[in-house]
Amino acid sequence: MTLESLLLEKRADIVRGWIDRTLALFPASTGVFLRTTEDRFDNPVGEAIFSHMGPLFDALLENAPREAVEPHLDPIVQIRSIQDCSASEALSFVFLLKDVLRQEAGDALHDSRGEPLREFDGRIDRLALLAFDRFIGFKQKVYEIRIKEIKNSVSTLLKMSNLTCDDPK
Amino acid sequence: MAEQARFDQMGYYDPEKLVRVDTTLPSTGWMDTPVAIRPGTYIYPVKPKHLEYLGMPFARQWAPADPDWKLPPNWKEIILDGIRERLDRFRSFKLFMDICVRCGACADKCHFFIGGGDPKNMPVLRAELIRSIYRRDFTVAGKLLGRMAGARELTPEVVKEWFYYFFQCTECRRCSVFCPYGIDTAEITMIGRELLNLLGIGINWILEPVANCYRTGNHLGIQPHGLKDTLEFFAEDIETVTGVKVNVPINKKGADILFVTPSGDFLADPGTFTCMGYLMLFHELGLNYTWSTYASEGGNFGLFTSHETMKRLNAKIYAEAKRLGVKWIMGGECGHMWRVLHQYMDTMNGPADFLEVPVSPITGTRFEHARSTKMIHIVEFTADLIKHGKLKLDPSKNDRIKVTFHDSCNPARAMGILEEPRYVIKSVCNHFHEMPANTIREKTFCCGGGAGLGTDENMEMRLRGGLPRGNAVKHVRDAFGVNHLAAMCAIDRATLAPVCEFWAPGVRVTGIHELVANALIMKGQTERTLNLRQEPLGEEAGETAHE
Ligand code: SF4
Ligand code: SF4
Repeated sequence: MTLESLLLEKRADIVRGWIDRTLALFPASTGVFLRTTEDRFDNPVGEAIFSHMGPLFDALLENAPREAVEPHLDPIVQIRSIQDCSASEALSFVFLLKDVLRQEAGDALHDSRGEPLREFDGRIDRLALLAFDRFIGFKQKVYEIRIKEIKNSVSTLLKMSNLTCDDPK
Repeated sequence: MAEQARFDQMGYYDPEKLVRVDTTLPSTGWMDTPVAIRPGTYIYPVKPKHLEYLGMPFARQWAPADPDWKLPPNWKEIILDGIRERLDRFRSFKLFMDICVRCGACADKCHFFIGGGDPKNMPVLRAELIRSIYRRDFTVAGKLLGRMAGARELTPEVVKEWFYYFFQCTECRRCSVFCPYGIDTAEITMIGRELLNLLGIGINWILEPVANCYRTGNHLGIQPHGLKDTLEFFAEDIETVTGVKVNVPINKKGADILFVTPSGDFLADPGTFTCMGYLMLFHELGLNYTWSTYASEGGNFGLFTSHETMKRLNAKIYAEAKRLGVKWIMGGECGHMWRVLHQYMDTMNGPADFLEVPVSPITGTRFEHARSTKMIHIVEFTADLIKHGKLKLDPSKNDRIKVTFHDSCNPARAMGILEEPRYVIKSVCNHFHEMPANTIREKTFCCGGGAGLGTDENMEMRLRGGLPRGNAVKHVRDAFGVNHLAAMCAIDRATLAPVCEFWAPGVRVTGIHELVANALIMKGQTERTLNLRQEPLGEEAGETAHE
């Protein structure tokens, strides 16, 4: 049995474990809220976690290219980029998958002497690097927005003094 | 989570638990968790010169990240006396301190909690920050039982926590809509901020505008000649777009109507385009109205400071109406101005019996609901004009625009003006789409930057708070191709722009009267090809919201 097919078999448990550990990064009462509030407009953070972590795992299983990973990574990383936590806390959810794999598929993985698992760990590491890129991208966006807002807040003065210049793109 | 049920057990899903976990005593620790005040997590403190100008106490240099906030020696006494005085003065405050049953209905209704996940941003816990002090020093149970009764001692750490969390509440009142007892956490925040001000603790982004407004008549400190130049500059832009040279009546004695709008409309995009919209509408109607350089601020950051400060700033509007001898007052597209107006103005600075009940000179409609304050909202005025067919409109001029409407917290929840803005927008735009029902009208989600939090040093906090709103905007963008978000509040027009840019890129923010002006057919206008932003008007030219 290949690692992929094994992980596919255990998919439900793995994804549930991953989500569970990710929610545990939040204070206990917040974790319960994120898990139990069903409406996606009342609970956008929970919605992002629940609807994207499964597909994100699938993308890893398929060793999908960056373009296929980002639509599921971005919603989570974007939220983490503006929450009140450090970068390492924000992105730690990616690494939690390693623990979950060992917990959920540990015995079976043992049989395969660890080689395929190391390969899969490599995918998780690449996901972490990608998450880091995206995280920085969102932070940069925040700073761009800050600058733009400051300019907008005095736009009349800038226009009256002919001091406006936009990005030609 | 160790002590909790597993996720596959029903107990895990009991929403009541989330409140109990953090508030049932003996506490699992919210009281003992000191607030981490790190740069980037707080708003800059007020500069001493502004406090001095306003005659507020304990002006000093201090920094939130410093361990020592240089509190006055008798700070504790000041706070406890302050609480005592306010319990006597405000029955609502006393009630709100006593009647919360910690049912948790409000717990997950605050945008800061929803977006950020910090339990102390649950409204019930925000209120507990003061209530725990109230219990210890003002209730028998608290005096006897202490922590067992949810009471705790007032320490400098508590003051820091207040600063952190009362400036992380936009006083939006969404939580109060869901509280079975009508507890208004916004009012608790207001009292919390008043108490902090007694110790000279406030934020610059509120108190500098307050000082400016006190001195020059508006938050931005625009002086009379500056305001005149600005409005004339807008008139030139209007002429470029329409070929019509609009009047700019300023400080005109004997005008029928005094018009007051938030000063953000003078200086900040996209509010400036809305301001042009007012100028065009009034000109087209031939309205006998006036701008004022003295009452040149519709907003009132005094509301975010203290009841006294709010009263001082608000007084200018009636004083100017009296000086100019107008009949009544019209207010622009502002948010919190309307809370001040509806809840406080009449008792604070009224009755304005020198004014007349507002009557539209165009339609003859008498605005009975304003018979006491003598002041109406421009959107009411415009809706009435449209209803009576008094405006020539070409909604196809806005055909590039697919618009949704953000109910600003104060007009929606403090004033109840829900239908008029929708009616006006639908009359001037062919493509209007509502956001989901649990995110609009009375349940509208805040922009995340109201009540004086709309500065830039806390941008991440604002984007957290703006997430629920941004998420709903993104939904209508994706489902209907919405590319504009309309709002009738100057703070919203400023703060929703970043929210949209971050959470729903491609959606721009607009005021309602910008849309009205684009559709307005003016007498003597040249062929209109540009909108007020001087971009092509009319049919969509193939661009999408996702550009
Ligand atoms: S008033 Fe608004 S910001 Fe303040 S606690 Fe309630 S929901 Fe949150
Ligand atoms: S909904 Fe009202 S009574 Fe219930 S916890 Fe919130 S403030 Fe207290």
